[in-house]
Amino acid sequence: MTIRFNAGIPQAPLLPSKARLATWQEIQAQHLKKLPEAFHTATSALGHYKASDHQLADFNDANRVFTVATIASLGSLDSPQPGAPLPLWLGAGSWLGAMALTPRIINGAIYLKTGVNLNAQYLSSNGVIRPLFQDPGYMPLQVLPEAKRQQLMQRLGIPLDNPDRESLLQERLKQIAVQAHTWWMLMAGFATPVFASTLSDIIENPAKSLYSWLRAKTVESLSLKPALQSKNPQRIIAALEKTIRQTIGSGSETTMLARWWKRLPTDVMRTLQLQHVVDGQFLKASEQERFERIAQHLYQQLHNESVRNALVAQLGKDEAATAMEGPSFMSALGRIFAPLEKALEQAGHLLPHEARLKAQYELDLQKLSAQATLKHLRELAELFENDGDMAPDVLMDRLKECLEKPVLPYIEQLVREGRLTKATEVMGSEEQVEAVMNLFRSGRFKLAFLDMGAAPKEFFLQAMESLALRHRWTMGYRNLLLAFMGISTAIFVAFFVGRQFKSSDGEG
Amino acid sequence: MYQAMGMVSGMPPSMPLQGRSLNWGPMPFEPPQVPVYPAYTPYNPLPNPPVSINQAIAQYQDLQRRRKEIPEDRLLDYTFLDKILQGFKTTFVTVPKTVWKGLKGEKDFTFADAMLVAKVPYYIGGAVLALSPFVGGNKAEGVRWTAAMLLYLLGSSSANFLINTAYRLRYGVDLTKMYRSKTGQIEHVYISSDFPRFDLLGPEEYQRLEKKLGVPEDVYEPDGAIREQLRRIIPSSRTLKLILANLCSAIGAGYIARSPAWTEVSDGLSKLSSVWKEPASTLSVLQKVEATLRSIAGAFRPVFENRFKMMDAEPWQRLVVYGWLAAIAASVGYVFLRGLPKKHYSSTGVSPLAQYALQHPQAPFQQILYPNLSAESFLTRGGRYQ
Repeated sequence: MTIRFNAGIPQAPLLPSKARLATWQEIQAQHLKKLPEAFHTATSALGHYKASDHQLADFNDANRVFTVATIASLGSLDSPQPGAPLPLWLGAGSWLGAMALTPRIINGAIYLKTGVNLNAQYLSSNGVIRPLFQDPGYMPLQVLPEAKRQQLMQRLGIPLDNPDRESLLQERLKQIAVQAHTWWMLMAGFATPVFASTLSDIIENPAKSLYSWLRAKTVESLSLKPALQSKNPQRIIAALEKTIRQTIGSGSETTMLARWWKRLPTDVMRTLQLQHVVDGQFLKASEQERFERIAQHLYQQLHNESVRNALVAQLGKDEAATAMEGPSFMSALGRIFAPLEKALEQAGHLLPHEARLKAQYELDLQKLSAQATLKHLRELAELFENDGDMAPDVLMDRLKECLEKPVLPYIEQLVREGRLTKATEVMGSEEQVEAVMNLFRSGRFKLAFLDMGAAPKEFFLQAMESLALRHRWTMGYRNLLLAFMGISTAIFVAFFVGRQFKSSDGEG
Repeated sequence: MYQAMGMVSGMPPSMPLQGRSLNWGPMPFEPPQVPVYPAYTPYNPLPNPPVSINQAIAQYQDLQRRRKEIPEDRLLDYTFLDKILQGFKTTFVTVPKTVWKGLKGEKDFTFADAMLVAKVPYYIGGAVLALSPFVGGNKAEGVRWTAAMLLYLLGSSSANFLINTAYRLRYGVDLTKMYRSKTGQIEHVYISSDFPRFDLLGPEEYQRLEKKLGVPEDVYEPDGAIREQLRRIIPSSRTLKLILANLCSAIGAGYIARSPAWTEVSDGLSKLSSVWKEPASTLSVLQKVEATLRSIAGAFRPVFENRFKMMDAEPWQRLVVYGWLAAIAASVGYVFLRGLPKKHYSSTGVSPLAQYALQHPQAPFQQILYPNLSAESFLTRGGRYQ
């Protein structure tokens, strides 16, 4: 046994300890044990009046997770639509993930510089797993293998012939651990919101797809199959209605279309470089001023042939996307229930294929509306393609005219209120109003919708206001904060971690 | 441990321990000194307000001198105002100093310092969350986020206050009692379940707790019985506080702050400026203050009506509100009805160990435990420290 020295004094030999570094599997298993352990702590403290400080600290950690989950649950109860709480829960999960991610990044940078793995955890003789560097007053470094300690001494520049090598190593590691912990605490306030929003953005779309798929599968297996096996007509009908409502409502083409609608403004704005129009003054300007700015910007951009080509290519892709066929779930459903439809018809209920047709019809209307919007946007490109050499004033007027194409909800409202003159004014020609009215009267909504998508003006104004309001924080300040945190962490780790400072008492 | 000490003094480990406890020779280490007489001197570092600048300087110098002179940990008898001022000092002086110490990684950085630095994310994160919607230009969302942050803090602090008050009323234990350590840190006496600072409590504190905790006066070693009960109160009260504080914070940030009526609050508060801009002749100052309070209450009323008016509330709202009230009632009920186990103390004044020792005078462990006392002195000593 080697004799250990502390400040030149030989130390009593240590009793062999069972403590050692914990393996990855043990650490993960420890995470699984946290919930039952928290429950045990609560019952033990309230029932038997016994709990140690470590138990209470772990209970506090578990309780924080519980708080985040409670906040997300209360938000879920507050939003009545199915599927609406999903972003809340994603946000809650991202928040916890961001809290765990921040120290990993800082510790990773410190590992690169000093070779010290501050994430290490040890398994104590009591069988409890603790972070090795959590308490600066108690770091049981003997759990590190001898070779690792020697390597750290070499890396940290502790001379070989120093009799106090072990205590010097302890001091240096304590300094590094304290510095890392303090820096983590300073960064956590910025990093947790920023990382949480970034993580949410990354996982939102995949999580929504997964959620829809799981919902469809769950309804099919929990509701449809038992109903079919029970051979009870009432139950079958209820299960069918539920299936159709839920799968069409959240699962398939409607969701894809909704997602496409959400993505479209960003894509188009990026193609036309419209995000540069949004600055600090955008929200203070009136609607007319905003429109003027957009028109000016488009006037400059659309003279450029490459921008026009990019726009046309983008719109072509979007048209293909809106004309897509949904997943074959509906047809599969039809095949499953074909034998049942006859019985249902005899019972006098809405048949599954009728319900499907109704949903399909609504979906078609939405698709047509989307395609009409794309058509309006395409006209912009065509205007500059064909009549680009017109006089500037005239071209500008045509551009504005093109941007102010009628917007569906507005016209519909005008017609419902009986303000046909105003509707005629907005739409431009009496014949067009009459044609649309005829289509509505005869119930041919599809054709009416074909003419009336969102006007480009409304489309751009809404998208840019939303960008200015909602995304300015996420797009501008988030990147700024990320850059600030990254640069300051790099500087801190490179120049300050492990450095010997002169203390204020002059002790060195 | 005893075996290890036997090895140090050169005895073969195979020999029995019995009858050799007094022949150990020099002790290999100093046993820990447990202070018998607690250093109990109430000390208030915030003096009376000075009347002149010279007096202020003198008071400040005196304060610094006294602080340096204090050799031990002292209990603090802070008033409510003192506690608030201490909180400000901790936030704006002690925490930045500790952070600077931690950034340099100084040798005397303790676990208590790490706990202090762990408050920083709450300050910065709260400010980032509350301000970011305002920076993005979304005022309505900003009001709501700020409300969520404040309600989170309000929830946890009011739950702590409730449980502390309940324990103070029921058992007379002031769980917020603080001491100043010799290194200058302000810490709670009853914060640790494993190492509570009973050594700081004075004799009058023990006398007061004796009645409140229902410990008979003639029981053997009443201070030990009191400490035993306090050791039960600390973990159970802390657990109760953690549960209730997290629940109240969640209700504040997840339920009250989600009210749609927060958007109207700024409109309601904008009436305040008109109250104070009126010509002085129309309203007296008192009336202005009254109108101010009235409009503040009117601004916040829709929010709380929306969340707590159960007449036309949805079922889930009733579940949340009544569940929350039930949790509060259950916590207070726990303190008053089941805060401590009922103990049946034997009032003979002699410890069970001493009774056993009297019956078995040749038992070796008496000498191990009490080498300086004869068996009879257990009776004469009477339990309490003289």
